[in-house]
Amino acid sequence: MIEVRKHESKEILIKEFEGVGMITLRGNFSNKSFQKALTESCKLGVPKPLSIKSNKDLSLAWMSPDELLLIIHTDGKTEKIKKELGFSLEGMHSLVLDVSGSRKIFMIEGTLWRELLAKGSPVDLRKKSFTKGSFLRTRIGQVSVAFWMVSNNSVYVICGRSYSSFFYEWLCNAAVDGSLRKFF
Amino acid sequence: MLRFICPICNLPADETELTPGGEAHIQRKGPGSSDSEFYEYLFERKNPLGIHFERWLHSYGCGKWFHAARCTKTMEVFGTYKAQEVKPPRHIIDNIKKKRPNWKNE
Ligand SMILES: [Zn+2]
Repeated sequence: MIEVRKHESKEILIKEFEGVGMITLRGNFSNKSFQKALTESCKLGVPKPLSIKSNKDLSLAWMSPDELLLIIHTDGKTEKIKKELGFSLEGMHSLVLDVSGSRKIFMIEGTLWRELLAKGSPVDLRKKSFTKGSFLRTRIGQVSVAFWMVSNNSVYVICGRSYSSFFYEWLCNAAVDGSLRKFF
Repeated sequence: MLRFICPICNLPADETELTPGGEAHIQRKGPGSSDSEFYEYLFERKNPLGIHFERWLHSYGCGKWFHAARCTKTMEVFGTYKAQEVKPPRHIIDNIKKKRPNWKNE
């Protein structure tokens, strides 16, 4: 994970990263062999809809009823995990695809991150609705994104690589000093 | 502004997160059909001022299609249901009839 650039305002710190390992997984979640392949290669089970499961190295997120996103936090492990998964899903109707190069990841830190995201997104970001372990796909400022909480004061946001410059600028603009008021 | 509960995510999806897919429950007329049937299948669409069954795509969310019943006049939503349904399910029809007793399902 390489930090590309960062922006600091009084209330918010925005960091953009590239080189984060991401693998798209598709298959039948209720298939026992699919579940077994996941637990063997990732040590993580299929997450519930709209949620994300994490351990030290990996996060596994629910994208749709037949799609998962595996995020590899430890550098240099993507290729190995991809091979393992491909091996254990052999012969099953499934997909294992390395999408690391087509995504960017942003870390937004600061107590007002909910207020910042709510400026451009229609989803319910109240503390009781969006909690640790929630994973949402939505739009922020016309960009298709997905996000989940890292801690009470920080959130990870992923978006397509081709939108990332626009999205970075959008975030910096939305975080201008004095433009955020405590709401949530 | 429209808000549908996506029947796949069970999450309220805002109109800006969705892509409209036009009229629902259109049956394909392929080889063997008459010219007028084929024309109707391709071009003829209902455009009611009132209850309408539509297809919507949760494009910024799960990426799946679903069906919705709503009123084009008041934007009232009567419910959403899976894309696999070939006609509006019982509970949707009942809900519409409860709220609009004069409505007739053609
Ligand atoms: Zn959905």
